[in-house]
Order: sequence, then C-alpha cells, then structure tokens
Amino acid sequence: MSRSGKGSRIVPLGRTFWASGLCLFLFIPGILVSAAGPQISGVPRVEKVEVWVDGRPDTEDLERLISIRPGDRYSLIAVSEAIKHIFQSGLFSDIEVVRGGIEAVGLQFRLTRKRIVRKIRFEGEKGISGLKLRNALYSLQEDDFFSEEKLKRAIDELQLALNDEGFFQPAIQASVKRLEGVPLNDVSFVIRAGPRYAISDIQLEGNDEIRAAELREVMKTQTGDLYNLSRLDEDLARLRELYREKGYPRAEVDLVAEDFFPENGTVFLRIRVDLEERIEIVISGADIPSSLVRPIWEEKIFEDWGLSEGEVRILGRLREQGYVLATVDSRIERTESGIRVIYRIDPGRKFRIRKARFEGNRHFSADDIRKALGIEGRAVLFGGLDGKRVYELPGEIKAIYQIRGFPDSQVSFQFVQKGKNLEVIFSIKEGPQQRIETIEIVGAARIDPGTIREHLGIWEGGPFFRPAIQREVEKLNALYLNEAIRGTTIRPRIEAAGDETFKVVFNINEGRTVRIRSLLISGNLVTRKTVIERELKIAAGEPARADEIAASRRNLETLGIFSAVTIEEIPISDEWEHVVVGVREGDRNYVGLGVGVETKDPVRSSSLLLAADLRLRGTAEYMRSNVFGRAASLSLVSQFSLSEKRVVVIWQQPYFFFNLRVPTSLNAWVEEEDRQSFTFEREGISVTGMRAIVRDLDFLATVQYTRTILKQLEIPPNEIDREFYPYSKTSLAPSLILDRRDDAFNPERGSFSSAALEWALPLFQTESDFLKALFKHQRYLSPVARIVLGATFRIGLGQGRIPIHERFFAGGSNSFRGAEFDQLGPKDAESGVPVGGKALLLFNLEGSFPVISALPNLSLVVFYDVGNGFANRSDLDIGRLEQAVGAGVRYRTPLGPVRLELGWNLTEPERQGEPIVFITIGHIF
Amino acid sequence: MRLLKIGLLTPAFLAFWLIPGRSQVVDCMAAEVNGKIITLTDVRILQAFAIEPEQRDDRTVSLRQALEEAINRRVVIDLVHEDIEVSKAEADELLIRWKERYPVGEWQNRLAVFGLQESGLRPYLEEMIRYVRIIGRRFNEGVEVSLSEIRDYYDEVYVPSERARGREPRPLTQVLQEIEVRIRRAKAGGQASVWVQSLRAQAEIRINERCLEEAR
Repeated sequence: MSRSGKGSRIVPLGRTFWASGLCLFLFIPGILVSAAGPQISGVPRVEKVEVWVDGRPDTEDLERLISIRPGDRYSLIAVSEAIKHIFQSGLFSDIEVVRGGIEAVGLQFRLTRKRIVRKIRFEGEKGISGLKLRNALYSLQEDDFFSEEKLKRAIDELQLALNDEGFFQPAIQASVKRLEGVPLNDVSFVIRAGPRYAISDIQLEGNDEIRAAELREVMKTQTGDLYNLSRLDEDLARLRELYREKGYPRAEVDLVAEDFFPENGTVFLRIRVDLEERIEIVISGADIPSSLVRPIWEEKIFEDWGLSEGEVRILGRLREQGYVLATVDSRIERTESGIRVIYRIDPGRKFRIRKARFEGNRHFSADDIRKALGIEGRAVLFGGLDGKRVYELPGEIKAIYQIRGFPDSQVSFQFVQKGKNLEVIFSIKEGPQQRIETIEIVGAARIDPGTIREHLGIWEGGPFFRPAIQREVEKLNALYLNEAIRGTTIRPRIEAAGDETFKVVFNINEGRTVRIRSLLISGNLVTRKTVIERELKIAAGEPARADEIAASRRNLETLGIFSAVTIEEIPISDEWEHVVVGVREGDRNYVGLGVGVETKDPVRSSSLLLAADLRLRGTAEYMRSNVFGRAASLSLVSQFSLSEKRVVVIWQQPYFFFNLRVPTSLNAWVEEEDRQSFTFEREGISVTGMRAIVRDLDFLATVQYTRTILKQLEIPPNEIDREFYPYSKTSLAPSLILDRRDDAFNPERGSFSSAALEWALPLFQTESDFLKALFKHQRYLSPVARIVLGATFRIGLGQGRIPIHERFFAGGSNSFRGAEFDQLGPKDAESGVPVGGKALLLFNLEGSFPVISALPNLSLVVFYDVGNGFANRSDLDIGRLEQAVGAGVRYRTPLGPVRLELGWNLTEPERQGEPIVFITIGHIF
Repeated sequence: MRLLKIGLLTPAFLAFWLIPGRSQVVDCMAAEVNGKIITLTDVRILQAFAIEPEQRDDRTVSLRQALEEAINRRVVIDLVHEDIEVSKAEADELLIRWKERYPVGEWQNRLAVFGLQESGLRPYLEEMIRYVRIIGRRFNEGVEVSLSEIRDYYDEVYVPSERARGREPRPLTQVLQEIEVRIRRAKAGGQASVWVQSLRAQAEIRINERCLEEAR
C-alpha cells in the first residue's frame, strides 16, 4: 500500500492489475485470430460448404464443381485450387470464399456469373448510322460475354469510328442494365457526336512532279467539305496510286498536320508527299502489263531479288498463255531521278501441250502419277495442259515420290514438238526406295499394341517418309485421348536397320485414365436440361473420351438452337475431372418475306416478255425456334401468286415420340393450284421422319392424309371417276436419298440419287389405291476449272387408280425444256390439255462454262433434254421420246443459279424453230 | 465501478475472440491474366516465401507489389511461347536455397499457414525459373558495359558506399568484374522492365481491386 498526499484516495493495485491482465489476455488473441491474413491454428476441418451465385443460394447443384468436401482438412491452398477449378468452367467472372468458424470451418463460395450482352442500343445524336456504329464494335457483341474491360474498349472503338467520320469530340456514355433473374445485360451507348469541321484549306507539299490541280481532281475531299477521316484515307490511297502510275511506286503520301479552329468550326490539312526514287518499268518483246511486276518494286528490296521475282512472274504469265519456251532477260539502269527496270522477253512460239509422258517410272504407272497430279484426261479433252503448271509438275512429282519413300528422286522434263503442239516428257530417276523394316511399340499397356498398330498409317514393309512419322504420333495422341487417357507422351525414334530400311520405335509414356466426376450444364435459360442431356455421349462416372466429347458438342450444335456451345474439361486430380457444358441460346424468331413477278402465259420471245401481264408473287414466313425449350420449331409459311396459294404450318422436332432419334416434321397445309388442265383445292396433314443410315445416305418416311377437290376441269368428266367430289388419300411414302454432291445449291462434283415410293392405301374411308415410284440419279463433273457437266436420269412408274392430280406430268424449266409446263406427255383427245400419265422417262444433259473472267458467277449453258410421259407403264417406249436442245445464261447465287434459257423442241413439227423462254431460280435437277 | 466496466467490456472482447465465427474472406480472384487467374493465396505465398528473381532477404514486398510481379511473370511466360523444361533437380536446388534463408521451424510454420507441403511450392518455383531464364536469354547476354561506365560507378557509387560503411574501398582493378556484373544486371533489368511493360500492354489483364481491398 502506498501513501499519497492529503485528500487522495488509495486504490488497491492488485485488483486493477488482475482486471487489466484479464482484458489483455482475452483481447490480444482475439485480434490475432480475427486478422484477415493467414492464421496459424490447429487442424481445422471443413464442416460445411455452401455455394451462392449472384447473391442467391445455388439452385444448380454447383457444389459438384468444388473439390473441397465436408470432412476434409481445411487449408488455404485447397481453397485456392478450388477457386481455380471453378474459374476454369468459364461460367463465372468473380469468385470469393468466405470462411466461418475456427476448428469446424464453414466455407461459402460466392460466385458471380459471367453476364451475356443481350442487346446493344445506340441513342442520342449519333452523327452516323446505327449500322456503322454496330459494325465498328469488335470487343462487345450481342450474345457475347460482358466485362467492364470490353465495355471500355467498345467505347474506344466507337470513338474511333466517329473520328473517322469527322466527329473529333464525341461524348459517349455507356450504361448497363442488368436483367433480373438471368445473367443478361442490355448495354446502351448514349452518344453526342459533337461538331464537325469544314476544311478551310488543303496544302500539298513535297510534290514537284504532278500538277496540284491534277492531284485535287483525284481527291474526293475538297476545301469546304466536312472533314471525314475515312474519306481522306481513301484519297491518300488514290494519290499513292496516282504516283505509282507516274513511276513513283514508293511514294509516301501522309497527312502530317490537322489544325483545328473550334471557334469557326474549320480545320486546315497539310499533306506531305515524299516521292522517293522514280522507278520506270520497261517490258518489251511481249504484251505483259507492267502492273504484273510493279508491286515487287513498291517496297525497298534487294535489286537482284526484284529482277528474279519479276522474271518468274513474267515467265509464269507467258507460259499460261502457251509460250512455254519463252525466255526473259532483265537489268537495271540508273537514271537521274531513280532507276529503270528493263525486262526483255523472247516469247518464242505459242504451243499447246497435248500430252504428258513419263519415263523412268518403274514403281508407279503413268496413270497413277497422272491421277495423283490431277491431270488425267485434261490434256486431250480440254485444250491441253497449262504451260505454267508444266514447269511446276517436276516439284509435284518429286513430292509424290518422296511421300512414297523415294527421298533421292529427281525429275526433269523436256518438250518434243509435234507440229503445232508439244508433248512433254518427264524423266524420272526414282533412286532407291526406303522402307520400314519393323515398327515397335514400347510402353503401351492401357491400349493393346495391336490396336495401336491398326491406327497407324504406316506399316512394316511400307514406304518410309520421315515427316509422316510425326503425323502418326499425332494420330496416336488422338487415340489415347479418345480412350480417356490424359498426359500421354509419345516419342518416336528412327533407327537405320539396313540398306535403305528403317526401324521405327514409338516410345509411349502412358498417362492415366480420367473419369468424369460431375457433368454440369449451364447457360440454358429456355432449353430444357433433358433436351441437352439427350445429345450428350458422356456422363458422370464414365471415362472422359475426347471423341465422345467432340460428338456431344456436334450433336448440340446440330440442334440449331444455340449460337455457341462449349464443353470445358476441368481437371481436379490425375484421375478425375469435371465437365461443364456451356450453351448460349440463339435468336428464336425468324421472319422472311419474298416478292417476285410472274406471267400468266408462257413467254415465247423477249418482245412478249415486255408485253406480258406481270403479277406479283409473294412468300411470307415466320418461324419460332426452340418451342417449349424442346429444340422444336413451329413455322408458318404462306405463298401467294396467280396460279397457286398455299399456307403451311410445320412443326419440327429433333426426335420422334418416345425419344426415338428420328428428326420428325409434322405438316398441315391448305393449298389451291391452277394447272394446265385442272385446278385443285387440297388440305392435308403429314408426318415425316428422317434418319441417317450411313454417311450421305438418308431414309425418309412420310405418312400423309390429303383431301382434294378438283375444279375447272378442262377435260371431259369421264376422265376421272367423280368430278368435284373430294378425293381423299392416305399414303405411306418411304424414300432413300444418297447425296454425294460437293454443294447442294451449286454442285460441281459428285452425285445425287433418290428412290421414292408412294403407296396410297384405301384407309380411313379414303378412295386412294395406287402405287407410284420415282427414281432419280444425277451426276456432276468438272473436268477443267469452272466448266461443269451435269447429267440426270429420271424414271417414274405407277399402277392402280391414280387420279389426275397424282399422275406424272412433265414439261417446263425443271423437267423438259422443249415444252411448256405440264405439256409433255399424254393429252386429252378432244381438248388437247395434258392429263398426266402413269409412266415418265426423262434424261437431261447440260454443260456450263464461264463467259467473262471478271464475272465468275456468270456462265453460259447448253443443254439437251430427252423424255416423255406415258399414259400407262405398258406405253413406255424409247422410240417415242421427244428431244430438245437449248442454251441460256446463268448467274450463280448462294441459293442456286438464276436461269434464263431458250429451248427448241426437235421432235414436234409444229414447235420446231420456235424457242420457249424459261426464267427460273434453281437447278433443273 | 471500474470493475463493473471491465466486467461489461470483457464479453465484448470474448465475442471478438470467438465470432470467427465472424466471417472473413479467406481467398478470392486477385487478377485474371490471359484467361488464367491468380488467387489471393497465390499472392500471399509469393509474398510469404519472397519468391522473386532477386534474392533479397531484406526486402519486404507489399501485396500489390507481389501481385504485379506475379502478373509480369505470367505475361512473359504466356506471350513468349518458349518451351522451357525445368528439371526436378533444378527446382529442388532452388527450394533448398530458399529454405536456408529461414530459421529452423519458421519454414515449416510458413508452409503450415497455407496447408502446403514443400512440393506444393514447385509450381511457383518453376514459374520463376522459367521467367528468369526467358529474361536472361534476352537481356543478359547482349548487354555491353563500357570502361567509363565502370569507372563512373566506382567513383560515384562503390567508393562512397564503402566509406559510408566504414570500410576502405578496394582498388578498381580488384572490383572491376564485380562492378561490371552489377551494371550489366541493372541495365538488363531496366531493358527487361521496359520489355515486360510492352508485353503487358498486349495481354488481357484484369486486377480485382475488391479482392485486394478485402485482403487489407
């Protein structure tokens, strides 16, 4: 106890001391434990794992993505790894983990989903069109992921686009609206383009060669115009081209100063021209434009190289034209202002190369070599071999030999003149062939070495080609990935085994089989999860085979309802991975409108075309896809014209009922069509299923019910059983299609075959009772570039009671071009109108070739059509076939050619000499 | 009265002690570089183990600095596309050198904080070795150091610093090589820094400031 002065209180020290000590004892450890940094603790265990997405509890079972489980030992490194795994799914832009508890740890994973841009809008005083602004955006696009960085870049892009159009002080504000409940954003850009500047003057400096007036004439930008950067850039390019033509291919023309005067809204421009040296190109001895070699001299190059490159180009051009023995000399002369490049040509005679022969080829026949080079048949039929290509062939032949194990092969050629033609003889020194003596597979255990050998493209005793070995390694890598084995390394080793023989060893260090721990689906806002799962060839617990993952992606893309499909594999350990299937749903509404014209009567000459009664023809279509989230679509199509009216409702779904994988289409329609000899009204309903059997071969089956009323009959009533009585039909129509064309709309190679049967049955109180078959085969060939030969054969046969509207008709632009529509085949004896028949035979042959090289899509066509329709199968007679020839022009479009054709019938006496004009879209076939 | 106050305050301190209990952000995405992330734990590991190209024991690195250096390394390795193999022996050797900087027990404590085994540091070491090699290949070999630069360094830096430490400076001839190495390293470092900044301009980098705020 201490004594203090008079009046002071005595405090018992011991109690204060102990109280303070208790506080300190309680307080300081609390600070240490509560600090947000890493902590030294005992062995805490994870008691609970929660997932929150965008501030709400997870409803998609995303816990499966997290590699930490209740009961696991808690560690920061495990949390860090879990964050990385989640991020790899590609679904989230931010992830944070909150911990609660000390020994029993609760972890809350807070995920922020990546948001997608739904709509981009431009508002305000834009200054330029919304389309230009939209085209200027690369960083931010609708249906793409959103981020703040992309938004910033998008603003810069819009700024540049506005600058280009002369708005140098635009104000752009972006606002982002987050849609509730879905990870979608709408982005709006409010733009104030600002003022534009008028050009007060344009000063050109550094130019002494061309009159200023001439330069200004070339430029579209003039004094007084509003300043537009993109237009000025085009002007600078024009000026450079002008200098090029004047012999200054290296002239630099640049805008060096823009002085803005905001007070009076003007800008002064200064353009500097730096001529560099003048380069004159002189080509003598042949008609070769200097533009062929001028581009070589536009850059600063080694002169010797420039001369050689010029010679190569000139010789190539001459050889293409048939001057295969041409020679070129070149040199450079110095002038006061630059250089003169001189090419002196001796073209020699012009030849056609009709034949190519090969000598010294012991291991491969001449036909094999021609086929490998792609020159079989061309020389004889189509004007000879290209002279330029002939000079390239030795290199190609040598490459063919090398691939087949002849590394030392040498090829030379010489010409032998035969009158006005040349024959080219290729002399081949094959040299020894290198072969593979043995192939050894070392280290393979998970995959049988026999299976590995089957996948190799090389074999013991086969040719040895060193670069091919690396391709085989890639094949084996793919094989292992397809067996769900990851981390495999394959090292090839090549050892000489003897005289020109080699041993190839594949040393395989196999990885591990990886299985799918969990399969997550994300991004489907409308599409049902079952629809997506149905397309997947992978499942949780199964091996992660790369080919099945790729097939799953393809299946989802084929549904046609997603704008993007990604499948991410997230390794979580050596043997397990998560797979995240991410989809972005595309637009669901499509509207199409089409307008055309048609004539009531057939057109027989161009003068009649001008006088023809033209009527409008229209098509309107609306489609809603992914209906009910089942990848189904509903379409409404209507067509209106003089001769036909049609409304069709189509329901398409990727599966038949009961999840049978058969794309199915349910159609219902009402139509009215005016034919030559009758008009009909029809309503019907059909179900069609399609299934791919093997590659290129599809099977279709249609079940159909129709009810038809015939009107305005041009034929006597005794031709059909009942006039105006509704004729009902129930039919089953299977068909096979084998399509091996290179392009469905504009084929140039390949073939197309179809066989269709229609069996009309008297079911459901219908009158139908007939059988029809139609077989079609088409072939396309392009022997020389841009020349296409096509042939088609069609035969149709029917039996039973076939009403008029179900019979075979022929004639017109798509069957026989020597007769108008429906006019080929049986006719009514009294009225002369066509009545159709139960048999049809058609054969069409045509060839198209280009006309103007500048218009590659325009071609001339000549054709020969043969065929006829017959009342009965027994009437079918090749001697009664009609013939027609004709010619026309076609313009190729992505949907097929637009055709203008004239056909002359060679058989019918009254039609001979008078052409029929056809204007159509699409191939005859 | 005073005891009453202490009695009332103590539960508050107890609550403070028990509540983490009180939730805290333990990890988050600190940055995204070319589509790959660097977590806050990654940055703390780099900071705690001073994993950096220059082995300076006396340097304390802030979280931000450690993150920026991690981003630099990631950018260089991603954009340079060189396949640099790091052998186990190399990584082990470097690990041993790092370990020797710490007193006994502290190394294990630091590992325990993160729940790491020594092998868990390997990815970080490998990344650093690759980074140093890439920089070394580009900048160390081509750097020239002139005699006048060495002399200037001797007069302006070496001699004053030795005298400040109370030591007699050694003659130029004895320290010439050492000074040359220092100048070359500094020059290379300067050139490397400019190069790395140019690579960063090409990379897609997003730093999550919110995560760094949580960490403070």
